Amino acid sequence: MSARKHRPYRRALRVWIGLMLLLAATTGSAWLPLGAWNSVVNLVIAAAKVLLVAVFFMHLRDAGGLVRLVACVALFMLVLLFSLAASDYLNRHIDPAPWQPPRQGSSSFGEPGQLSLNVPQTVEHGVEVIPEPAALADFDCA
Amino acid sequence: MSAARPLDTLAAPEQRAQAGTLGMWVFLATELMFFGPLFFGYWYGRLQFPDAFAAASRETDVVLGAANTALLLTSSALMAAAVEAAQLGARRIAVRLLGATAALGVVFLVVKGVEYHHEWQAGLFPGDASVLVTGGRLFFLLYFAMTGVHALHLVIGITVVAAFAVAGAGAKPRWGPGQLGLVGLYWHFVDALWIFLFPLLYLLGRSG
Repeated sequence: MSARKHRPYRRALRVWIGLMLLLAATTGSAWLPLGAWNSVVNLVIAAAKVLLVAVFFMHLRDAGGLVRLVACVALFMLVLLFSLAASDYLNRHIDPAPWQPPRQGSSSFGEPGQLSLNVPQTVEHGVEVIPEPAALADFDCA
Repeated sequence: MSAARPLDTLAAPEQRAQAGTLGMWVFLATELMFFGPLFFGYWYGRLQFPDAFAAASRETDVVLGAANTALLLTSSALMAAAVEAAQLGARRIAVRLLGATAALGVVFLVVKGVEYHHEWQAGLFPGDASVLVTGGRLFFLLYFAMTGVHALHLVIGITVVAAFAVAGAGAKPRWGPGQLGLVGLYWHFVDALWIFLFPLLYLLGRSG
């Protein structure tokens, strides 16, 4: 006879019920007009679900400090990489390149007597250099 | 000296179990780094094209997505119960629970395949035939990449879980509760990924 503190599978059942309730909450809340808070609610609920899975199903509750540390360091590294990548991407802007779409009425970009009047020299070392957007803007104003 | 297995001489059984668990967590940490760029790409695209992402997300099948989430959460609970059963020495119950876990994983993949089929026919797959423009294309590129890589992980998980179910069904089991626990960690990780994918890909823009 075994004298267990918990009846077997009881905890898994409880966690499963919790996960299902959270799934219903996240799906149902998606149709409420909360604006940006919809995403906040969804992410908080997702984090709660993952925490339930990690703590009970993945046994972080009973795990030693080393295993918990690895789990936390993984999350920390992800946050670090997101921050570093964001410092690049959040400072980029998607501007249409000045030569797209093709300009109307001029078949050749470097036709003498048109662009070369106001645009600075466009040939460097034998390679055609696309004028800077600022230079094109000057040309348009003139 | 007898031909002892190298691992037996390495450490006490308890230490070996701890080393296995730690190794699995380190592996899962690298898996998180692997998925990280996809999540970052999603975040960037959503900041860059908020309206297109919301509109594209409404094209996904939320009913099948929610059903699949429920399937995967249930499979995780069954997996946790299987590990518990193995620890209690109830191997027959553990094997049945493993079979049910793998079966739910297969049903998930079938549902996902039906979704892919609908999305392909609706012209949502990125490419020349896509009906979407820049932001929406990026959303569905990420949708197919994230769910595809997740499905690949699930295929691996199903294979391993099914193999453990078969290997445990005989008179003499070929694995112990410790090894099954490591398989469980992997399965729950794949489940945890989907827990984040579901709201990001399916629930965005529903109230708009």
